[in-house]
Amino acid sequence: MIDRGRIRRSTVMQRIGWAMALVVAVLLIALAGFALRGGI
Amino acid sequence: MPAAALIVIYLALVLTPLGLAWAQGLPPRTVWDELASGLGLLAMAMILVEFAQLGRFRAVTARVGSDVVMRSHQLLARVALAFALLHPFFYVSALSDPPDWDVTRQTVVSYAWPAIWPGLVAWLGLGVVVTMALARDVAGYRYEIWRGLHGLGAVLVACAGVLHALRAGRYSGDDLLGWVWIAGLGLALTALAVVYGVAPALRARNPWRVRSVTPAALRTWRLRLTPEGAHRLRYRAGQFAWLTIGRQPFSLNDNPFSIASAPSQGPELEFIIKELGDATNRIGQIAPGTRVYVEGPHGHLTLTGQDDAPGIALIAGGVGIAPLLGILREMAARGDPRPSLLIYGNRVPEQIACGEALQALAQDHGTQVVHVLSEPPEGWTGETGFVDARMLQRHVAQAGRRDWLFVLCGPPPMLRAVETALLDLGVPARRILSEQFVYD
Repeated sequence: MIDRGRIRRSTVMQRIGWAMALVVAVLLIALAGFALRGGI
Repeated sequence: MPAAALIVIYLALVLTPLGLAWAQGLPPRTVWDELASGLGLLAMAMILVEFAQLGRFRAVTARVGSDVVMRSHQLLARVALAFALLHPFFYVSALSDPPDWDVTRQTVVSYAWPAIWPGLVAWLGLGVVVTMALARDVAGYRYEIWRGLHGLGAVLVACAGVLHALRAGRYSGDDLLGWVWIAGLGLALTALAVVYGVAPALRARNPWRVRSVTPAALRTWRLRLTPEGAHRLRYRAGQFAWLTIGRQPFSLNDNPFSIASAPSQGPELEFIIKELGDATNRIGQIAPGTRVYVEGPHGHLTLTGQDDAPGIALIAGGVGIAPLLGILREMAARGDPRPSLLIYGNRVPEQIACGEALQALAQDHGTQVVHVLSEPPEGWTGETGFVDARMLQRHVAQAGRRDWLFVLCGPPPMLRAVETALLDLGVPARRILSEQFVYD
């Protein structure tokens, strides 16, 4: 689980890293859902 | 609109093709085939959205800063490359042309050359474009060559990728998704055309002229521009602009410089420019009267929305003083009653830029100016070493300034150190604004 306090205490570049990690996580979840949606 | 909304917009744009493919309800294939198609859909969408992250769109740069826009452009391009590289390797269905009855191409993966070659071009092209970008500093390309090749390569990848999707894609064969790809490509190319064609054409009608170039410090120059006509640059103190100096407005050779003047001081612009080993080495040779085109303003290093901060602390490293000088000048010109502190780090005293202007601000506006030298001469009575946690402990924590606004500009290592130290002292992240003076 992402520690919100840790994000608030991170530098700008670290926060970009968190944001990009979040974006990639959402993309991977969507991709997995797409691939598994009834795949055989 | 908060910066988080940009993430939501980004995800909505990138996930639209995948969602449309999902909604088609085609009969399922193997998980691996679906994964391969999904990777291709995501990679293509990410590549097209990269064109909106060029760092030249003020609606975005003024909100989150150019550093953030360019970093996300770079990081997301790498993810798109990874998705694109993996895309062809997950197909497990037979490689052949589909039988006539299989109109949804669910039993095979087509290897028909007209469908495959654009994909191959995009696949290889993307690898080359991203590799060239990663190797940019090592390879030492000339800036305008690099920029031209990067743009052309991106156009090639986008066009070939969309052509591949339309010809080979199982889901992109659908009319709606096909039109989404064409519209996306159209928007991407429009974004590029605006930055490299339309915007320079508009700038050509509003030229500027060099009024003077004078030394500001060791290998550092003060460049003053005056508008040729009644036009003005509407900017906020602390922002920066891209300057095309002595070239035609469509030149790829422009450079970003922070504006050191204040909007309230009048229409003229002042820039503090350090010789950094590239085109900036010739700044001192620019003749007065040289024509300049100004693109901007960009950047979020401003006091906008920070009216509730009880004081302003500015921390500069080297030529990072330029935007902070603009902020101090604007505060003085507007009679901002809030106390201000400037911590200005350099190596040697000869590198202190605009010393007289800073002295005047200290006397007239009451700004506390703290000079820090890492290689002080004998008899130096100011601070020594680097702007570090111990120094900030004294000037920030012990001085009761934790709730001030902190505006940082300097080299990346200094910014990281100062930002971390301020956070450790309990300064809230929303009270820290920072901008690297290295644009990559």
